[in-house]
Amino acid sequence: MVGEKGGVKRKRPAASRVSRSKKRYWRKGADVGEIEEAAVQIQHEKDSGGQIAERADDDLFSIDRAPTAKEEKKFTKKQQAALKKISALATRNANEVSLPMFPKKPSKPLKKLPRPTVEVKKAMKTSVKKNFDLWETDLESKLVQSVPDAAKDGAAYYLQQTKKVQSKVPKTLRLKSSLLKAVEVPEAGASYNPELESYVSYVQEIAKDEMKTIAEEARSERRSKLASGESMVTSKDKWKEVMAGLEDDESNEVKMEAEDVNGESFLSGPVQVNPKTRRQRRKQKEQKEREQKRLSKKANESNVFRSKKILKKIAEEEAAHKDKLKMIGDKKALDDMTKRKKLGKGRFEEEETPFLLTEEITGSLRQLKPQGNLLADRMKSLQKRNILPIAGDRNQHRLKQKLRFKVKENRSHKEVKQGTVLR
Amino acid sequence: MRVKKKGSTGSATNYISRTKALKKLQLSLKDFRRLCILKGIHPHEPLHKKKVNKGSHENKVWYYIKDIHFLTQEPIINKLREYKIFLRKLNHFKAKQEDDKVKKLYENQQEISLDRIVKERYPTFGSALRDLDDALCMAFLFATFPRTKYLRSNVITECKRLSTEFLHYVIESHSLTNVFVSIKGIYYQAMVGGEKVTWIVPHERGLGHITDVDFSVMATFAEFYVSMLGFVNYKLYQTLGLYYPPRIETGTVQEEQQQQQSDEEKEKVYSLCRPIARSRQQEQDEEMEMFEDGDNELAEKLKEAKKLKTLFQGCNFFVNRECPKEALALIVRNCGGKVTWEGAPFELPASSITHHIIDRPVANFDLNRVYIQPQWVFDCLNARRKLPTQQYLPGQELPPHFSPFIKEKPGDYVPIERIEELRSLGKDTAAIEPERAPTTSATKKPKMAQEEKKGMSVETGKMHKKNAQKEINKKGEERKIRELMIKKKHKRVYDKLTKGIKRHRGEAKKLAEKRQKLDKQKA
Repeated sequence: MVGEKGGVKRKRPAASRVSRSKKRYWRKGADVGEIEEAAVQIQHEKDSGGQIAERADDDLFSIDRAPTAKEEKKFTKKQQAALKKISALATRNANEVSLPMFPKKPSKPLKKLPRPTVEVKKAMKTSVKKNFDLWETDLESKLVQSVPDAAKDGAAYYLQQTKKVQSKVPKTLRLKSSLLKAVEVPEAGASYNPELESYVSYVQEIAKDEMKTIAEEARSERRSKLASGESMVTSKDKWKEVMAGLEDDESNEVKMEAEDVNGESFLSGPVQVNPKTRRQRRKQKEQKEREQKRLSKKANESNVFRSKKILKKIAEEEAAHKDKLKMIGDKKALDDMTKRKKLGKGRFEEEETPFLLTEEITGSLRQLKPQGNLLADRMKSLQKRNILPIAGDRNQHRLKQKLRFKVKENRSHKEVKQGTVLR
Repeated sequence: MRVKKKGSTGSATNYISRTKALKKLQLSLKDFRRLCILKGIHPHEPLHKKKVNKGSHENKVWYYIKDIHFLTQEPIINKLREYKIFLRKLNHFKAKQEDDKVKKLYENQQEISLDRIVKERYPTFGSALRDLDDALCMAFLFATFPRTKYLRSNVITECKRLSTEFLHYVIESHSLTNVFVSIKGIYYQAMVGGEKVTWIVPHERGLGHITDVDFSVMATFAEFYVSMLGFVNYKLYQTLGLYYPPRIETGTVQEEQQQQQSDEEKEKVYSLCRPIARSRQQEQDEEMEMFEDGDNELAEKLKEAKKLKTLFQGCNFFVNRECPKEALALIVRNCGGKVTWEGAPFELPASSITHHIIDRPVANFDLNRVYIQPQWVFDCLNARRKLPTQQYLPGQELPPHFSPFIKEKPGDYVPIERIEELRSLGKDTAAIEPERAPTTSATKKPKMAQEEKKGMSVETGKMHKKNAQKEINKKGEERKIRELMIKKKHKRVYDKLTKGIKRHRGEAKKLAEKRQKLDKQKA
């Protein structure tokens, strides 16, 4: 036990030269130091009241009952509250014996007094939002001052990279999306107390639109209706069709035969067709080409004398073409600035023009029933001016994007059965 | 030569689809939408969708790639990311019921400042004024909304504050020119800084609930316009020499330190009925002397503005509680009058009130006052004069309320009331008036057969008289000749045009006849 104290075996250089089977090896390799140390230890123990291994436990140890370090267990707030309650109960129980009762609901914590620091912060927040003239103050120069000295040389680059200075605004951002007005003032008929004629013309316009939609609905309904005399196919009819000719086929056949015997009841004779031969076709084609060549040559010869006229005509045509192109370009530019564009999958729907029924017009501001919704009006205006995209239907039917394997048996494989011989 | 790879030049490189932009910016769709609205970036439709979309015709939302590249350098993106983290923390602490930490988070929350963006989008004050229509409509609309999930209460209060501040400016500068009360809301028009600004204010009764409007998108617009309007208002107030958070004029010298306003004072400011204080006395209006030329447009405009300014001068209005106070107070004070109502912070002695605006049957009359319906005020502003009040007495059937925004063209049907109104304004109505049957003098005088004097003689010279009918006939003939000269190509278009004009004229005639019939029945 003592010998193994060191744990690690020491090197024995002198012993290494001696064969291990010899007795000399033992003597040379023995580690005397360790044994000596152990002997000294034992002697020391004996001097100070006996060997430790032989002494009793009570002699060596004593139970420490005093609290040691301040390493108390940290309780959560809830646990602390529970402990508090337990200790309070315990003290109360010690003083007086009372009936057992349910623990009270924890009372609400007292409101904290406002801390002065918070007040200061809030005051600062409001003061930050100070009014100033935006177009006179330079928002960026302060940032330039805040550049560290090391970066002074490449300040512009540094500021741009740290997103402190605005990079150049692209031209595309300045493009106006539409020339339409932000607020479209309605017609005079939309007045709360309209003049009769303007009201009529205003309402008639709305009625026209409404009539259109009604007509369209009626049309689609009519289309889905059956024609007079027709009826829907029932299962009985279907069955009849399937069974046609199966029940009393004999009589039918007889009838057919009888008709055949009479002959030429409804069949006319075969149509006579005389197809052209290849040679005939070629000859005709050649003839046509020759004729055309002759005519064009003749025309060209006479055109020589009309060259002035032709040139004039060409110039005119060119000018007309140019005009047309210009007109198209102008129209396109105008459409670009005034018409709606297709932005997104959705379709733009005009807002329904609000109106009052004749009995709702009272001429009194107090009794007016406001029509239409301004929020919707604003949104439609933004959409009309191509500022907002229009989202498509969210629940749009979507094709399955994932491709799936389909099991299919080849015909040639099907033919192979038990007992077939492959050649 | 190497073959170019497809989609490496031309329009394919100019556009980027929204999904790609989202990926590039690493933002959620919601954040991207918000950012685009704040920065004023909108989608564009490419000329050839197929070229841009790798041969597909699918409708996508396209942006200019330059715009998106510009967005990548936007510091607000970082703020949006920080906000995402803030939300995560908030969720965490809320779930753990750690209230003090939640509170702290809210206290330290950073608001996104849009000052820089406002300046970037509107490099000049004029450009901001040109976009004021949208901003005002949004502010007035959102001021009426209740607080909801999407709408923080501070946006609503800010909208209320800014819209009333703007109205105060309009009142102080006397710049309101037109009002139109429609069934949707009240349309106003004012000349602000040389720009015609039109906006709509909803009626006081609440709006109905709608489902097909993305509320969060509109709220983002409101958020941006709130910060923009703040700066615009400040600048507008400066031009008039008013204190910027507006203060009530008390007659005493304002103290500079008294910055914090009490709630009571704020209420006074936002009631619109009291004048607000000026930091410096404005110079006296210089009397612009214009020569009385008939066609001097500028002079006419100045005259009109002066008329508007003094329209209700010396009139004290009392508004009954069922009438729209804000609208009436705005118009009356814009035209130089004074206004009060029950419980208003500005009181006028009852004996001094000249006009009582009421929209219900009157219970007890006060003989010193004129009782009128609210439409009188609107119509007076549009007509630029004080209209006779007989037609506007309570219980009386009101004359129609015309739209001041619609200009009559010759050939249109214009009701007589409108013509009279226009005539009273001193405008030339000859073009609009319905053609009357030419009043021929009862009998033509028989020409006296004059005896020719013999020999030389001198007669007194006669003025050359133009025969109006002959002139018309001549014009007609000339027109016919010109019509003959029209090329065949253009003839069809011309015919269509003339047909349309004829039809229009016929309709107008019909309406006029109808009116005549009605008048006859009434009489």
